[in-house]
Amino acid sequence: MKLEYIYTKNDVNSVTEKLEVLRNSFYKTNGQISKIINKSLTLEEKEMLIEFSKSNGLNFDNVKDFSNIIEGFIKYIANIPVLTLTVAFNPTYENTRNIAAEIKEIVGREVIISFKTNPAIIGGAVLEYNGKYKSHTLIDKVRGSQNQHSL
Amino acid sequence: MKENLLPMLVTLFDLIILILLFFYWIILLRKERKLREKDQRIYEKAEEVLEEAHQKANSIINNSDILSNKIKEDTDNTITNLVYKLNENFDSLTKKTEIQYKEQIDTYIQNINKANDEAIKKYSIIWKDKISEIEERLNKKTDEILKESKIEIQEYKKKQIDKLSKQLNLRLDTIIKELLPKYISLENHKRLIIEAVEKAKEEGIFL
Repeated sequence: MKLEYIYTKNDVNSVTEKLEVLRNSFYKTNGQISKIINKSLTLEEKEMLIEFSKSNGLNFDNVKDFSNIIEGFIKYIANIPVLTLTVAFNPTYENTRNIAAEIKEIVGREVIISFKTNPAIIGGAVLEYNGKYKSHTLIDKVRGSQNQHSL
Repeated sequence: MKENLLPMLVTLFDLIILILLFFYWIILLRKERKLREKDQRIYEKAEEVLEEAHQKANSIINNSDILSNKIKEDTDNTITNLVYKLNENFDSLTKKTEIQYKEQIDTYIQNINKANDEAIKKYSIIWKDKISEIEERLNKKTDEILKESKIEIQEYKKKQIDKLSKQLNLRLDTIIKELLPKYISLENHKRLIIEAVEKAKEEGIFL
């Protein structure tokens, strides 16, 4: 399954929170799933849940399956590996989504991006993924050239 | 008469005993005289024997004196000859020994001189080697000290350059951090981030 609308850690937290609320308030709806879904989730989020239920052989409209779909989806997005990116500027929501979408394309697999800000790196990014660490920043380049000049 | 008979018999008996004793005394006297005579003869004989022994002894002594004098004279002569010969031999031996000693001493001196020469040669070679070794060690030590000094100078130079470099970098860092971000656009930031991710991927961060 390919997640089209969850890019960042904030997206994961937001969706998880919404789904947990939905799950907790589900018993009050007397089985009117579509009504509460339409009220709680965005269209994109709803599409993701439908796709998830299909790929897992569950019926989205079935009251019995719905609880399992929510549980499964929360678990699924919680287990997607996180790529932490330390960048020099504080990106806006739109910027993070744009950058994250491009990064997901480059990585070629499901990945959640977590942004951190450190102006000291000037530009570029420091990447942390599954315990691995790579730094490709402008400050590294500047220091590298400084060291070369020193030597 | 009967009464007188007994005293008469006793008297007679006494008289007989007296006569017998008288004869016995005479016999004893005769025996004594014979013994004296025998003693006298023995004494005389002993005196003769002694006289004869004395004479013989005197004769032996006289003879022995003569012999002794002769032996003495012979002995003296022999000793004199012996001493003379000994002296002669001693002189000869002394001379011979002296010559031998001289020859031996000369040989010793020659040997010692030869040994000294050889020792001097040997020690001069050893000393030359030692001096060369010491020179070599000194040169090596000097080289080492020079090398260490050069290294120390280099290290000091490097430390000073590093110190200066760090100070310079710190200033450059400050300048870069303050100025550069102002000239980087959002598009450039985005491009740099994407480039960083691409490089990290090439380096295998996602494997």
